[in-house]
Amino acid sequence: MRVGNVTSPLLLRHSFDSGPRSSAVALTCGFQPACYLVCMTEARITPPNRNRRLLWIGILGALLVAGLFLVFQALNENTQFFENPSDVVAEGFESRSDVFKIGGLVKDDTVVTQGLTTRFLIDDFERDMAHDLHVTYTGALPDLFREGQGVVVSGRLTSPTHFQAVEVLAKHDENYQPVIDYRDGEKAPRS
Amino acid sequence: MNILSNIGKLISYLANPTRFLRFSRFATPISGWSALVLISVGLIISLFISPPAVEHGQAVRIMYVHVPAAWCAMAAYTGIAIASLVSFVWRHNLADLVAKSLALPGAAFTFLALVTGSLWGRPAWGTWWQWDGRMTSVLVLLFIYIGYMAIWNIVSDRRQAARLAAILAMVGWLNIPIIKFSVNWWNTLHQPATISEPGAPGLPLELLTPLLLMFLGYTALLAWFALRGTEAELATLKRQRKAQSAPAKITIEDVPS
Repeated sequence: MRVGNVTSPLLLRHSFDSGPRSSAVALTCGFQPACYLVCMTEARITPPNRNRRLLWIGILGALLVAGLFLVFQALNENTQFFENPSDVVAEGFESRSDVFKIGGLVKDDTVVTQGLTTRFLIDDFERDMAHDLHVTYTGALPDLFREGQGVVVSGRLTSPTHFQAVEVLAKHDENYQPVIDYRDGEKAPRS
Repeated sequence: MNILSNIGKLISYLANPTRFLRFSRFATPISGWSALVLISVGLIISLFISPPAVEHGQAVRIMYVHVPAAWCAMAAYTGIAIASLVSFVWRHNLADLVAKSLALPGAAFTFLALVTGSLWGRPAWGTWWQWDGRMTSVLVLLFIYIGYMAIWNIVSDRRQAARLAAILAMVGWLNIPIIKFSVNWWNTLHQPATISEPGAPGLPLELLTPLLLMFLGYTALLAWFALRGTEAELATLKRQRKAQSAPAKITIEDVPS
């Protein structure tokens, strides 16, 4: 019997431990109402310590999940890697910081290259845009930068319709195609 | 319910060290050899035989070492969490050993997933690292693994170490669904899962075959690590118990001068 062995209340050692099954021990654990409830509900089911531990894990687990849910609710926008272009062009948009990221599709037939400077329109992955959003970027582009492909641009808005990017990342989708596509009956490489 | 009760029966059957050793005597070599064969064949197909992909070119081969590593990282952690629950609630001592021996391979797989993911990110996205939901949550998983192993190493009392480690393992498991669903809940740079349901398009057979082989090979390797590690832990424990129960020998160093 290790009733006296109350070393660390943080560990809930005495309430979890395989101590005697009387409620007197449970009451020493500092969570009297809960322990009392456990002692009442466990009745004469054997072994009671096991059920008490299971109940504790259930209660604390549920509390943790609820807490985590609230944390992510509160963080909401801060957990997003990028803004949607449709939100950026929507009325009343305010970015959380001066420099931020926008993720969307490079609109077809809009890429214009002048030396190292690239200009294109960015489209939303899903929703319609209130108006066009122009992106300008000077520098090397990732290999997967293509028209109609996903892109994440980091930079600042210079006007409601213009975004000056300092970094361009490619965002590809989850579909992969072998170069040799036997299903179409063709064996020539497709690119 | 039937499956659950069968798993429960299996766990209580294997909780006895003698029966576990009888089981591992054939399960360990089976998992070890199948890991060796599957990974060898899988690597040859992944690296030499399978075709490159349209957008990604040759870099698509990184996927075959990356995706199974990430899967094993999460599977090992889930294994630790389940073993910890069994150890914590039912006090099956063997479950502690299983959990403990899953930690290092799990951490290694997490590290491998992070490194190969970084290697994928450079050619595919144009960056080695970004703080998006998927990458950050996997990095957190690595830190949890390190913390878990640290508890086992720092706390000298075995029983207390087992309980503390089990609490961390169970709380830390909340990170696993976060990793899994991060790409669905939030905007991330990482793409969502390709194989979200059986028969989902997105990975034709030429690319699916090497991935599946590597997936099975890695899983067998993880099983081998777990079984081999548990056997080793059991042997260590046995030796310690023997040393404790042996009559104390007083050596010359023990005598205060």
